[in-house]
Amino acid sequence: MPRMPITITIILFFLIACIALPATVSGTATSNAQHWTIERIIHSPDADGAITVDVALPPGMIGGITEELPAGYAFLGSTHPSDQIRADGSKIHFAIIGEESITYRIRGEGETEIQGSILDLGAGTQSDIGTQQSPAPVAAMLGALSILAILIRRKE
Amino acid sequence: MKQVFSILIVLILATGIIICPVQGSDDYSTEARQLLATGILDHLQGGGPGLVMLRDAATLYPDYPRLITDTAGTKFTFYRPVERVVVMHANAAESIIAIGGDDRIVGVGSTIKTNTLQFPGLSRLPDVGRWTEPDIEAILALNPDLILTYVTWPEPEKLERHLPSRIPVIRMEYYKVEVFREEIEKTGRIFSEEEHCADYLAWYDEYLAIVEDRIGSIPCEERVRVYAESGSGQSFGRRTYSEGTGLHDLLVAAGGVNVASGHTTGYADVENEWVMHQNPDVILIWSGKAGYKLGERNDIIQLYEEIMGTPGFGSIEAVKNDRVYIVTSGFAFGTGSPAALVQVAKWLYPDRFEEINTEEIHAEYLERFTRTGAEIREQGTFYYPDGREI
Repeated sequence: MPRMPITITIILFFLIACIALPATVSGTATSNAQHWTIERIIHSPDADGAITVDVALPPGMIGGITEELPAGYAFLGSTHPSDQIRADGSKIHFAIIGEESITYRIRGEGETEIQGSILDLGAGTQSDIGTQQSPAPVAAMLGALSILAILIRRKE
Repeated sequence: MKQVFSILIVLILATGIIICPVQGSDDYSTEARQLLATGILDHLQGGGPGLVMLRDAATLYPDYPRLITDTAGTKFTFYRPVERVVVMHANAAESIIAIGGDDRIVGVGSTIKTNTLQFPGLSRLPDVGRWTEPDIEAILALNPDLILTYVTWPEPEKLERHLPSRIPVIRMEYYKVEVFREEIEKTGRIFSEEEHCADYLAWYDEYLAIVEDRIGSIPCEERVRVYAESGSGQSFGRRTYSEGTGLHDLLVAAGGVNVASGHTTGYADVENEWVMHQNPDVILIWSGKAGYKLGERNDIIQLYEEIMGTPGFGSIEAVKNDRVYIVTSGFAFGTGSPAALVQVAKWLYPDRFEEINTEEIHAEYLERFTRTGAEIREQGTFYYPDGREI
C-alpha cells in the first residue's frame, strides 16, 4: 500500500479538525466541583448575532446548573429537554439528569462573560463555575501536534 | 512516525467524543426524570423539597422520585422510601402487613392498638388516637414521614391543619372493592415493596378470576336473589345493605342479585314484611363481631338464630332451605376479601364450587398475608356456618 504524502496527511488532518471543532471557539470556563469537571465553551456570534454556548458535563451527573447571563443578553433557546429548563430573568436554570452536554443560544450586546453555578447532588454542594478564558483551544493544540509530526517526519 | 499518527488518530477520535456526547439512557423512567427535574429546578430557584431529599432521590434514581395520587385525588412526591409511618385505621394496617411494609409503622390508631390478635406486633406501638379523633401531639412526637388514614376521616381540620406540610397525609380506604386493588398497588410503591405486593395481588387476582370464571356466564334471571343485612334495624324492622355498601359489592361479585337494589341505597331499615315479600333465596348477614376477636362466636350464633326465629321468616326460601349465612368484617372486606368472595360464591352456587376448599383459601390468607398466630386459625370465627361444632 503506497504511503500517503505528508502534506496530504496534514491537510486531511486539519480538515477533520475543522469538521470536528467549531472554528469560532472563543473561550472556555471550567469548574472543579467536588466530583465533576464542567467546561463551558462560548462560540463567536453567528450571522444573526446569536451566540451558542456549549456546556460539557461529566457522565452520570445528576444535579443542576444555573447560568447567569450578562446584562443586555437574552436567552434564545436550548436543545436541553424543555421540562428541565427554567428561565428566570437573567438566570437560566438547567436540571441535569445524566445528560453529558447542554447547548443553548443567547443574543445581546457587550462582553459575553457568563457566571455559573453548579448543584452537585452527589456531594450535596453548590459551587461556582469559573469564567477564565481558555489558554489553548483544542484546534490550536491539534495544529501544534501536526507541526510536531512534520518535524519528526523530516528527521526520519 | 506510525506511532505519532496513531496518537493523532486517537486524539481526533477523542475530540469527536467530547464534541458529540451520547445522551443519557432512554430507559430512565419518564415520571422519575420529570419529578427529579422539577425538584432540582425548584431548588435552584430557592424552593423544592430540600437538598437531603434531592440527594436521596439522585442516589435512588430512576427508582425515585415517585408520584402517588391517593384516593382523595391528592398528589404526593416521594423522594425516598418511607421509614416512619403512622397508620390511623385497621384496613390500612392489614394492607400494609399484606405487602410486607409493617416494619416501617411507628404509630397506630386506637382500633389497631386494641386488636391484639389481629395485630400482635402493631398493637404494641404508640397510640395516635382514634381514626375520627387523632392525637396530634402523639403523632408529632413520632416524627413520621407519612400518615395513612381514611379518605373522609379524620377531617383535614382535625389532622392536616395541625401538621407541618412536610408530613404527607395519604387518604385511602382499603375496603372498597372499586379502589382496593389500585390502593394496594400504590401502597406497594409507597413502601417500595413491589415484589411482596405482586405476590399478594397474584393471590387476590387468582381467586377473583376463579369466581368470575364460574359465575360470569350465569344469566341475570338465573342468578340467586340475596337479601343482605346486619341485624335489627335502628328504628324498625331490619337493617339492609344495598348499592354503595361493601356487602352489596361482595354479593354482586359472587354472582348474586341484591333484592334491595332499586328499593333503597346504602344502609336502610326495612320492614320484616318487606323481607318476607321479597322471599330471597339467600340471606347474607354482616357482623362486626368475632373474626380476629376470640370469644365472640356466640354473638354470631345468636345473630343466626335471631334471623331463623324471626316470626314469619319461616316462609322465606332462604330460611326454609337453611341458606342463611354470616360474614364478619375481618373476613368480608379488605385484604382477606378474596377468601370471602369464594365462600359467598360457593354459598350461592354450591354446584359450581364443589371441589373448592374455602377453608384452605382463608387459612392460606392468614398464613401468608397476616401476622396472626395459630389461635386465630384454630379458634377464629370468620363466617357462619363454618362446619365447626357449636
